[in-house]
Amino acid sequence: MSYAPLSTAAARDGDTLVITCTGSAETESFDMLAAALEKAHHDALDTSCRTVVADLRGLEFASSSCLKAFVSWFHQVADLSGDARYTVRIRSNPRHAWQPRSLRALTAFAKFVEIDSEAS
Amino acid sequence: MTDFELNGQLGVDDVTSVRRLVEKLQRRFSVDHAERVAMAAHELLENAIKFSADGSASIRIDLTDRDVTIKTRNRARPENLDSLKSISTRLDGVDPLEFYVSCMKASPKSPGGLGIGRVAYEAEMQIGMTFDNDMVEVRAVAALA
Repeated sequence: MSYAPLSTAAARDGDTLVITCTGSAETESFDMLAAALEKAHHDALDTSCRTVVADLRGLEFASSSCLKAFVSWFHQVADLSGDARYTVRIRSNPRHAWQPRSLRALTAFAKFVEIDSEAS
Repeated sequence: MTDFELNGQLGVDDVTSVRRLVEKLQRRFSVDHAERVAMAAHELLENAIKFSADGSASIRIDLTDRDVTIKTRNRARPENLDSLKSISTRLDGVDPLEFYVSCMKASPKSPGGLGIGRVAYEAEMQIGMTFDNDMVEVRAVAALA
């Protein structure tokens, strides 16, 4: 079992912005994760992205403190008006047991979030 | 039977170490069980440290033939006691997913109770809190499959 620290990377694919999170999102990683999601949000708005994909297939764990970073991001998206609102799609890996449970709750809160579940 | 116990001046890095050790210890039951209990230990210990008035906290995991119980204890500052009592009241008798989602819907700056809600919903553990002056004990119980 590897215990790599959180790493984030952003890439553009047409009108889709992909932010990839790998490793373990421990509580100490909150500032880094929140900053990465905040930047993705503003980049999506500045460049009129239609979709932001959060690729979490390599994210082995996220503390509730780090889940708050996603919650804050979804609050920001929910506050956008019609044309400005982009689609959020999460790529998940059910082999990480926390993901189906956490994502089920997150999508109950943010119903506009779509989940693509697949093995990495 | 006490399966695991730790107390003293603990920091955030200790929380991660405890989660990994608890997961390793609980894997003798099942991987799914181990991940749920380890996550719960992580969230409860992190809360105990965060709410501690003096920087000290304790965590203990007890096993019976039927269930596993996680207990955390810490002394809390008055404002944190009020917050924990409020969470305890809100959690009483409510559907775990409903409580968890309500924590997400709260102000993104302070979605109080998110960690507790996660333990109740994702780890499927029954949560109880007791208060003795400034001492707080949080218990989470799950049946052994």
